[in-house]
Amino acid sequence: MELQKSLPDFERHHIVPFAISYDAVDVLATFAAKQHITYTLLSDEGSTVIRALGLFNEHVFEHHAAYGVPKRDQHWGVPYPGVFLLDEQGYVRQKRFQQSYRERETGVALLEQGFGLPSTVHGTPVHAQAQGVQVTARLDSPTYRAFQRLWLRLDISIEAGLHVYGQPIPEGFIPLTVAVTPAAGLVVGAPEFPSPTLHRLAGLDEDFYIYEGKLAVSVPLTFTQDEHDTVVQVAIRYQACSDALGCFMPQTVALQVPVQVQDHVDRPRQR
Amino acid sequence: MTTPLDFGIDFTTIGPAVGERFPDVVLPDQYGQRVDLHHTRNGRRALIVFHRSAGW
Repeated sequence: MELQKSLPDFERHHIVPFAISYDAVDVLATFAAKQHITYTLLSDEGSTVIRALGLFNEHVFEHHAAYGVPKRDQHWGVPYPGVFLLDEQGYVRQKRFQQSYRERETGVALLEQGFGLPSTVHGTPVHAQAQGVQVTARLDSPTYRAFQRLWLRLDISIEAGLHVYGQPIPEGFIPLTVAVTPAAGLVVGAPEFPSPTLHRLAGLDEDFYIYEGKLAVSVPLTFTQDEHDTVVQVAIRYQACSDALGCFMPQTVALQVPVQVQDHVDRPRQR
Repeated sequence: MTTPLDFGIDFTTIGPAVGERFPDVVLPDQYGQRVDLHHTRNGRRALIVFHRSAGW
């Protein structure tokens, strides 16, 4: 399982993963041995805990029908798919649940997007630059499979003395935007930007929100097909300005982030 | 084929809420050993992952 790859990072940050499913102990034992899982898998046979916690997935048949999966009694009893992030005192700090039982995040996403901690494993970084700005793009993983959610992370570094605009922004100005080119089998979520800082310009009574220095923007990508190795096309548009020199022409930085089908890497696909 | 991802479920009201202490859970692990989740955590942060099945 994918979480295993991030286990050294979880250990380094003193985070203990537990996975709960309705499987019997022997099913978990077989799965753990086959997939080389060393973290704790808990057996909630009969879905007693899943039910007590209010996580019993009442929609599973309806969702299977939506995917064209035949109804099977064994599917009844699964929990809603998702993750609770607990703090040192055991309080829920975040819930990261997926609408679809098929969709999953990576351990990297739980660490970086969830806990805000750096991961040592991720996809190969791609670099690009344009006037006043350097960008490094990478995905959570160098590989993907169907219904996996990978975050595209963009580390943007703005040259000292310059800023770019965030939102909201007065009309006629160009904010920093991130666009991922639509593709078949790729669902692109809304980019998540950090909060920009308020910036007042002498002589103007409009409020501007800006970014300076370094910032990270993340975009959730869900792959709904895994037929081909692919390339995620990203465009970052911005206008760099300085209080002393005014604004430069708007720029677009384009990056191509490759990602391989996991099946092709881990094992030859069997037809 | 369409591939719906959003079924409009409101997860804020499903399961333990943000800000609550996660309930005590004691279940057997893959080795058949009884695991008390909070006791095993031993003051560390945790991820509690709920997934469909390891068998299918």
